[in-house]
Amino acid sequence: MDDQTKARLALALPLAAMAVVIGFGWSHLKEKSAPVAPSLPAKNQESSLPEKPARLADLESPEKTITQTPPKGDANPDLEIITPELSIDLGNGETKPIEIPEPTYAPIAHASVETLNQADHSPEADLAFIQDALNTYRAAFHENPFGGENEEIVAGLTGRNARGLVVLPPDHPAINQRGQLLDRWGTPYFFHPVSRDEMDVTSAGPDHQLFTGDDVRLDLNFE
Amino acid sequence: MRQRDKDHLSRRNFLRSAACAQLGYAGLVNALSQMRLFTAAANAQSSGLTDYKALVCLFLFGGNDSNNLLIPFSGAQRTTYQNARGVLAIPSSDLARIHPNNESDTWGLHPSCTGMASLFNSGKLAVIQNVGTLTYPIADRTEYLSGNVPLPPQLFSHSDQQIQWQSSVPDKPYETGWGGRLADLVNAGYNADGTVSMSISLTGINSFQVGREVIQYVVDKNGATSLWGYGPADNRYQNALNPDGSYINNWAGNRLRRYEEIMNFSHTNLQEEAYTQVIRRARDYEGTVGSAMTQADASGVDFDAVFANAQTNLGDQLKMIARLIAGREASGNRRQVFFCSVGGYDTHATQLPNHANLMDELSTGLKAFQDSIDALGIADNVLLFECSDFTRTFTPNGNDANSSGSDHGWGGHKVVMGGPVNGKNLFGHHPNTSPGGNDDAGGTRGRWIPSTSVDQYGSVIGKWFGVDSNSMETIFPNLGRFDDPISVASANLNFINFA
Repeated sequence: MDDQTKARLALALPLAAMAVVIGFGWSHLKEKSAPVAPSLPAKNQESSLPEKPARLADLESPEKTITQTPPKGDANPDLEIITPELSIDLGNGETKPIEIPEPTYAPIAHASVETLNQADHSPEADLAFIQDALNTYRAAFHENPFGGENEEIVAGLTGRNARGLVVLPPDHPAINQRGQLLDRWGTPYFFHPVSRDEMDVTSAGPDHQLFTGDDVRLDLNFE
Repeated sequence: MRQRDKDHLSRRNFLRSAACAQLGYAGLVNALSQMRLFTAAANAQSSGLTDYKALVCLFLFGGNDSNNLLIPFSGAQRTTYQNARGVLAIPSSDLARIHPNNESDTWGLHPSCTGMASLFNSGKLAVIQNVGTLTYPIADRTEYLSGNVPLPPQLFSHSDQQIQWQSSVPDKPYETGWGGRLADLVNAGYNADGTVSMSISLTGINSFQVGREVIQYVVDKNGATSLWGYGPADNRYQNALNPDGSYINNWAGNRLRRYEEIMNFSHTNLQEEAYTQVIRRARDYEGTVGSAMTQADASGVDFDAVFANAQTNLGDQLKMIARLIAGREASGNRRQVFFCSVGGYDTHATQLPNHANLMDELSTGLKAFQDSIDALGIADNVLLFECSDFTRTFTPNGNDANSSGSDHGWGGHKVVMGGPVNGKNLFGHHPNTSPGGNDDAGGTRGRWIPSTSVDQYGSVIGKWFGVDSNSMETIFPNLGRFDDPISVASANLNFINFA
């Protein structure tokens, strides 16, 4: 066995042990949470979303086709991924690629996802849902999803993460072809990473212009 | 930037990595303690100890849009700038022109930065291009997207990037700042007669100056922070102390006397003892700062006049730093580290007018500060360097020039100023500013992958401050992952004249 092999083994064995421990813990968690998780349409199945308009804008624009059934599979398989490939930092300058596991739906996605951008809920409730989704993500990963742009953060929330954890279904009608999460007026939400555990989210409001008087926000913490 | 040889892992490198991983910060602390002793011993043997150096860290909180600080005036870069910056583009004709010695004459600074342009063109200021937090070098967009290189955690998040800039160790939990480690290293050797902490902050406790031994001391634009309740703002102890420092025999005087007696008790409880130490130290330092102000007033420099055009938050902080430097003999310190900062740089909205105001504050403040240091005759002894969370996206976030701004980016251009600077030069490497191009970190917003790490930037500054090559990796533990900024010419980081 040459030096390189020995070195790699020395690094790989503790990591493998850690992976087993983490994997066991996660499997255990999944088993424990499975019975209480409400059902959500699995990939490639028809949605059970109620027959409601997807967005307020759809109500106001009768010429639009109301999306009641999310598209099958991923929202857009040709979506350009702008975040780095997932990997584990091995601590020595090298990384180990992560194969994203099968999606695991977080309870938050089941409980509230249908309300996002619905006419019988307020825009503030939409933001509260997004914050809940972020909280759920943070509870699992102890930090915000990677990135500063809407599509980067949404990628993390929709399962592009080390556990395949889905807190927002990738085929949600509020996600556009670029992978951006839209507000009820069809404008991408503005995500503002303040810290690893704080993310301000803003809707541009009815005028579609950010940073104007009709913006909707729960908390904005600009420097 | 050094390209990593990922396929080669020698026994030596493996042992080194494993040792570092095991030791972690504990190792760093021990190494720092040893290096501090070596440095103290070496300096004790050197003659005089009469040299003086002050380091001023200016942090622009919120993420300065340095894409609109250093701006192409003409040429291909200008075309790209004009096209990509959209409503945030500043016309060439408005720029404060600079004429770098080591680059084509095609650059300018923000129109509000006439003072900085003057400093640049007179050789007192330089710009280091595309500096940012890195854990390892990243060659380009392809390598960034590959996932093969560890990235600084929570890129694009304000507080994480602020802390990583100040710690220089993005891949470890924060424990100390590199300014604090610098102070720990040099304090014993240079400040044996010091009567105040060598780490002074103008804007509260900060991460940069947190060390193991040297405790940062906070003052404000008016000087020392005094106890309240014993007099008006311009004379905090007027009601309690006589001019000779004795207690006035009145209610306020007796209250202060008793309070200080209580604070002089010693306690077996560590928290109680630490609390009283803070108070005692603050009162001692207050006296030193008062003496420094007296010396500054006698320096012959009219600081109010020099800062007449810089009566801003930043200008006031820099004026106090200049006065403290003028009164340095009172401190007994031969090495001092100052920290000052301003916020408001998170220009997501209404950027053009807001950033113009910020650049005006920055430029007038820096010009006045340098003028005051020049007037004190110690230009070669003071170095100011600037930091910020990150620069901002090259592309705007809207189409309306009145309301649009820019969002969180990554690598940005940094300003260094002072007599030690190889001024009138641009250092580092300007990024390929094509959105979606080789230097764009994913997407097409123009978030530049840094070509110079904080470690490289800081280590050049650290060398000037007295850190020798043996100690450098105790201050910047990740420095070895990058090209040596001094010896590797292609790094283009010789922004300090060490002669």
